[in-house]
Amino acid sequence: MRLTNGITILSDAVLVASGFDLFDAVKKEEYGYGIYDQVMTNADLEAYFKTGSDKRVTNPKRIGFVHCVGSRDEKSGCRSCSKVCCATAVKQAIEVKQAFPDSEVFCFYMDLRLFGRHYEDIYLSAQKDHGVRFIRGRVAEVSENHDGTLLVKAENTVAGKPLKVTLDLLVLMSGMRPSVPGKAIGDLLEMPVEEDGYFAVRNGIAAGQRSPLPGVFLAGAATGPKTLPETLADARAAAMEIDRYLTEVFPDARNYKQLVRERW
Amino acid sequence: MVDFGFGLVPSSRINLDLFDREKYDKLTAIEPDARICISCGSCTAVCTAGQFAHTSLREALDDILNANPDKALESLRSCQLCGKCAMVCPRGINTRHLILSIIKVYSGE
Repeated sequence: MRLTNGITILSDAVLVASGFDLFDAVKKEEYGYGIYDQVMTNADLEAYFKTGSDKRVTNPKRIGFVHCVGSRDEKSGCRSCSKVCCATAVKQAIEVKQAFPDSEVFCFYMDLRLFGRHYEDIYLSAQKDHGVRFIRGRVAEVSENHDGTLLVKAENTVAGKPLKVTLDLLVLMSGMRPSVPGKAIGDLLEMPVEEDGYFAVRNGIAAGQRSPLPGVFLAGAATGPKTLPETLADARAAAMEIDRYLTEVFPDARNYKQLVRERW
Repeated sequence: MVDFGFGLVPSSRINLDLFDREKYDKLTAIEPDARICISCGSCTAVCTAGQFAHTSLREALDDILNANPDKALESLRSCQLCGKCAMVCPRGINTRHLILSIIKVYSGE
């Protein structure tokens, strides 16, 4: 391997942990990111919580969250669920409510996929303690009023009626897409990629950290959208797999080919 | 928005800008469980009055949130307060108290 600083490393195993890219919300033109002033993404909102300044966030009274932006959307080239956005949206909705207690917060969802321990508790707390309103229905289009506020249209599919609401701020929950720089590394190694754009693994259940190429390991969001605990578990598993490979399979040069056939 | 003089019939569209937040806050103050409904529909499915006349707590809560409280009261008019809905509610909502609270806040009685 040749690193960008010119150092060459000879290695027996490689771990690819190239992560993901955030879906470019500009592609969903109907939501107006980059067109209307008061539309931001989940990453922008997280940056606001960190720095405390964003010219879009000026004491908003009504805030909307749009789930599944660039996820579960074949038109934008991504069929899969990004896994983390539901919990992130509920978390951010609570944080917005805490920052602006006087505001009203609406979450527009298709399904709320709050799997996993404690996630349902956060959802209940958002409803019960913070009064966040959940509306089933994907936002169809957004337009801007003369005063800079946003007119949001969706269908409330529970009521079976079209809905409109005026909002001061709209947050788009951008999903996970395969990493573009990661793809370049994959091309160097000639690593197989599946239809969804993420790297293929040897076996999704029994060998999720092994690529089809012997000696090349994978971890984290390089093999699909993952939550933080999953990424950490993946990293530990990959480290153990590499340790096993370097102690049991690789040193036995005479039987290497046979061992790889049996154990990879 | 520009008014072209035509559009959807008001009754068939939800306009959340008309939502009465003051009354809703009053309702959640006396019955906080109003907030935690997940619109599963169990209450409507088991409703005894629902066999004979249109009755639905799930719809009533949706109608309140969708700025249509008159329709909500209409959905609860035939309720006999039997409490079957409380037995099936997955979120454990005290439905009888909720129904009485809705009527108290929204019918002005």
